[in-house]
Order: sequence, then structure tokens, then C-alpha cells
Amino acid sequence: MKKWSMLLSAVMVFMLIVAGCGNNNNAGGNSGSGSSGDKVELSFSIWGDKEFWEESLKTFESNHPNIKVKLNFMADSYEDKLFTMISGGNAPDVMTMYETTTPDVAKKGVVEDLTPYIEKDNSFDISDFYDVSLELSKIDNKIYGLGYALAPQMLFYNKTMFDKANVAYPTGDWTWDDYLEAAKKLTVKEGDKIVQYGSDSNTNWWIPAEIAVRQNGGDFFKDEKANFDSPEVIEALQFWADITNKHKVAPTLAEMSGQGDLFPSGLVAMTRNGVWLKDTYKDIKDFEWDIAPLPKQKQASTVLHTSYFTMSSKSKHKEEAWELIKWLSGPEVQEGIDSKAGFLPTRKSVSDKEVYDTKMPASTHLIGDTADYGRLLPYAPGVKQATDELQKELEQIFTGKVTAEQAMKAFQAKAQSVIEKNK
Amino acid sequence: MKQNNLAGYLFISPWIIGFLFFTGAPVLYTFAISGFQWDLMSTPTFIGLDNYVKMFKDPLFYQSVKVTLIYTLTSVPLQVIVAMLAAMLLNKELKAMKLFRTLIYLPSIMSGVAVAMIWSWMYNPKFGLVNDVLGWFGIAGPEWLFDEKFSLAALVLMSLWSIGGPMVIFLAGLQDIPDYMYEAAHLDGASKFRLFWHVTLPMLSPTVLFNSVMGLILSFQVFTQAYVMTGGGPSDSTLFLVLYIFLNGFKYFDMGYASTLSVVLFLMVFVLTVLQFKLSKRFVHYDR
Repeated sequence: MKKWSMLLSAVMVFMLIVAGCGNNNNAGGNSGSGSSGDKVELSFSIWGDKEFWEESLKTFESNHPNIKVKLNFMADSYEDKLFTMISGGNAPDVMTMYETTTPDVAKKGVVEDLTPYIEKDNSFDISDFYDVSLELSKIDNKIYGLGYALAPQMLFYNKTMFDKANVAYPTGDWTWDDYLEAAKKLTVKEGDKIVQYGSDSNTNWWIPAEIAVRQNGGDFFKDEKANFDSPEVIEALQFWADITNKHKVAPTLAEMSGQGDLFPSGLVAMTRNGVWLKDTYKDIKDFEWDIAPLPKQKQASTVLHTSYFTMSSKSKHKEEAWELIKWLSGPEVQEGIDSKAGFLPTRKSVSDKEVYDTKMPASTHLIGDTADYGRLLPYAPGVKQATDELQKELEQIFTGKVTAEQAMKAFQAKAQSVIEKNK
Repeated sequence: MKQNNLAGYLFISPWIIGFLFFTGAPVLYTFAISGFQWDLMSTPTFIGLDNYVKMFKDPLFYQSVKVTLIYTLTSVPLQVIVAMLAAMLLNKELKAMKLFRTLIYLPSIMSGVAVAMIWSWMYNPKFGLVNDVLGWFGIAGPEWLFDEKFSLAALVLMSLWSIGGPMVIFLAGLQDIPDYMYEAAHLDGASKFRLFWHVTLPMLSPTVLFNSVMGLILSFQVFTQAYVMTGGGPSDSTLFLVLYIFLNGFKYFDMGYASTLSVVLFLMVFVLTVLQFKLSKRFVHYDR
């Protein structure tokens, strides 16, 4: 008898687990139209400001009573999760895509060509979008995605430090030399120790280097090919390495480690960084600060970050998905999120309204000008791998272990082989 | 008897099923994918052993194996020794011993990322605690994580901080050693060192084996520290194999190659573990 009761309880444990799994599966299933009757259910994936997108989807649903949208919010590891869903055949109908990933997914047929939807929809005007905003979503004249914001890299400066050192504030006319001169005046020594640097070095990221190269009339990647050994590239990298190593007006990579951002801590007078940092810096109480265009060299330039709303080519409800993309990239959403975050809208009509939040620093309007001279991130097959490798080279250059010329001449072939491998 | 076995199997069935579905199947799947080129987006294409050929030509693969092996061969023995010494200290009968035990164990319950963040700050060449302390003795500390000669050593040192897990197991092992053995040895006039060498160490040897095997497996899987603190740099001096797998799989979306590297990692750990068990037959003393 004892044996039987033991067997029975074991069976029950087993059943319980199986039943548990079964229930989960039922709850997890979200394919098909479900029980919502005639309603079409779309899924939409994004990261960022969860509250904003929830609100915005509610408005969309009330304008489109036949469509219900399931928000698939993924705060971190966005791309890993999204690609896992895509490979499992569960791609969301509308996916927000990193800009440099968009050409890859377009070429591989993961996302739908939106051009036919754009052309037949009279209520949609593509010419309202800045051309630059479509730089990475337009392939062979077909548009695969629409963005909602452009986030430029700008120059942030500590006004209080400038006033103290009696240095004129940066303007759009500044060249690199003006920047260097100002940085020298803003570097403060106490004895042998430097207590305040004129410039941040921003060397732990390849994007400020990319911008410097562009300002010098060059490109890391040109026509999807590696272009690292050109004189424009070498010259630009050497200049910014010298800021740290020769002129000693910017901290070394080692000095920056574990310190977080040096700008809000009041250790550097100027930093070149993404405009979204305004949101962090607005809490600074110890000093006044503002933004300015980045200093130029042969030309003014910057990087504009963006992302695209794309439609899954496997979507069962493409018409409705288009409606959603139209809404998400529409004026109402852009006005809402861009004014809150201080981004540049992708639509000229919204940008013209200058909807920025007044709590932002005085020169926020300068963000708008970046649409005239900024460009999106570079793209080439395998660009992520190539820029990871580039990052290692930059470390060597910016720590002064090698010259820009030595590093880049050697790196050119390596970068090109990464591109070839990923074609 | 048979019925009893059935009950046993049923009781462990949740675990067995879990293992088959969530560990066994993915492992087999990994073996399979390593024969394909797959970017998660398009349909996988079968390329036979191309990924393995690519691997043998890939300098970063050799670098990552080298980094992982150096780390394992230095950190595991050190961890075992430090954990054993700590356990022996904590095995004394003192009033506040529970407090000390808790303090030494505490780092082990902290999340890996938090620990990594704390240590990046401690290793800051200019403002970090480590170089501050070295400065008291007039030593100008290195640039730790930013110097390719010290970055891996820094991670090895850091691994000695979270030895709570093996320490507790050693402690249990120590308390398992019957007092009469010490008494007998003591009566024979054994010195403290002889007590340790002829009683403690042989009696602890199964625990040493267990901790070494676990340490070995864990050190082959080092990821968080490298990912958070160094990103594999400088100059790939902390490019651990698992970090390299992660980059290939989830950054460059080259699943086939990432799987190939995982298969090799699996084989390496497997071989080393078997070797460890074989060798240990000579050194490990089992009481029962």
C-alpha cells in the first residue's frame, strides 16, 4: 500500500508540472486574431520611453477602433530579443529597427518595402521628411522605414567655467584650433595636478572620431568600402589624440575610467556628446551649461542618430501595420516625444514649429540646424564588427602608443576584409 | 523494487524533463547550428565544416583561448588556496565568528554587474582605492584595466574577492573531519604543519577536487567582468572565449560561428574535467 501511495504522489507531482507548463503555453500564445472579434491585433516593438509609447498607442487605438496594438517593450538587449523573435517566426508586425541594421534586414527580406504604401496613400507626404532622415532606410529608391526623431551629437559646455576663465562661448564658426585654444585656457592646474580639463577626450567611443573625420572632409567608410588610410582620416585622428597626449588639455582614457561622465562632475569644461544627455544634465545645480554646434574643420558635420519603424514582411495585416507606421512617424507623435526629449523631428513641418520644451538650455534651437549639415551613421556590411575593431585601434592611438598613421595604414586591410566577409 | 524505481524516476521527472528540453536540446541544437551559416534573419545555409576552418584561421579565437586558459590556470588554484585558508581561519572557535563568516561570504551574493562596477572604480589608476593603498607604501600603481600587461591580472585578483561559495564548502568539509584524528596525531607529537599535511589536507581532498572542478568550469564561463569592465580590451588582453562567443552571436549575429566556438568550449571543459578526475584518483582520499 505504501508503495502505491508513493507512486501516486509522484504521478501527481509530474502532472502538476505538466499542467503548469501547459497553462503557460496557453497564456503565451498570441498568434491569430484571438477573441477580439473583428478587431485586428498588431504587435509593435520598441525601447525607450515606455509611458510615452503606451499613451500614444492608446490614442492610435481610439482613432482606429478596428485595430488593437500589443506593445512589445524591450528596455535592454533590444536587438538580441528582436532577432530571436524574428528567427522564431514571431516577428512583430511593426518593428523599430536600429538605423545601421535596417539596410541588412531590408536586403534580407525581413522587412517590407514601404514605397507602394507611401505612393497610394494620399494622406501621407514623404517630402515632409528630411532627406537625411531616410539616408539608411532608402535602398535602390525603395523606402523600408520611417523615423520619428534625429538625435545629433553636439558640443556641451560649462558656462560657469567659461565665465571664470574669461573665454568667449563657442559658436558655429569655431574651428578645431579655436576649440584647442579655448581648451588650453580652460585647463586648470593646482601644482602638478590638473584639476580641471578644458576638453573631455571622448575616446571610449568611435562616434566622436567618426565626426572629426567627416569634419576633416573624410569618411571611415566610403561607398560601403573601408577608407581608413586616407590622409583626412589620419590627420583628424592625430589632432584629437594630440589634444590628450601632446597638449594635455583632455584626460587620458585611464583617468576617465570608473568615473562616469566627467561633464556633470565639473571636471571638464567641454564635451562632445549626444543631445539626449540634456535630459541628464538638466539636474545639474553646481554650474550653468549650454549647447553649441561642434567645432568644424574643412566643413561642419555631425552624426545624427535615428531609428526606423519597419514592417515585417511576414505580417498578416499589412494595411493596418502601415496605418500604425504612419501614426508613429506622424506629426502628433513627433511633437510629443521630440519636444519632451529635445530631439530633432524627422518631419520638417514639425521641426518648423520649434516645439522644444522651454526648460531646455538656451541654445536648444541650434539642434534644428544639424539637419542641414549632419549625416546618419555610416553603413557597410559588417559595420558593427568593423567599428568594434576600429575601437581597439582608436584606444591605441588615443593612448599615444601608436600614431594615427601607423594604426590606420595597418587597419585598412583588416577593415576591408571584415566588410567582404559580411557581404 | 521496480515500482520503487518508477516512483523515483517520476519524482525526478520534472528535473529530467527540464534538462532534456532546456539544456539537452539546446546543446544538440548548438552542435547542429555549428554546421550552418545563420544570421537569425535569413534561412540557415549548410556549410559543413567551414565554420571550423574559419575558427582555426581566426587570430581572435586563439587569443580568446589563451586569455581563458591563463585566467583559469592562475585564478582557480589561487581561489582554492585562498578559500581553504579562509575556511581554516573561520573554523576557529571565536565569539564573533558568525559575523566574520558572513562578511567573507557577503561578496558572493552580490550581482556580478554590481561587483564589476565597484571594481572598475577601485582599479581607476588615478582615483581608485587600489592605487591609493599602493601609494601609502610608495608604490606607483599601474593603469590596471587600461594596461594590457595588468588587465588580466586585475581580473584574477578580483576573482579572489568572491570566494564565499568554495569557502563555505571547505568549511563544511573541515567540520566533517573527526576530532579524534587530530587528537591521535597530536598525541603522536605531530606539529601544526604535520596536522595540516597529514590530516586536514587528505580529509579535505574530495572538497578540493569538487571546488577545483567547479572553479574550472566557472572560470571557462567568465563573461560579466570582461563585458562590463574591459569589453575585452585593451588590445584583446581580456577577450575571454565566452565574451567572443557573445560578440559573434548577439552583436554580429553570426550564430553558426558562435555555435562553433561554443562546441569547442564545451569540448575543452569536458576534456579538462575528465583529465582532472583521472589525475585526482592519485591524490584524492575518500573515507568511505
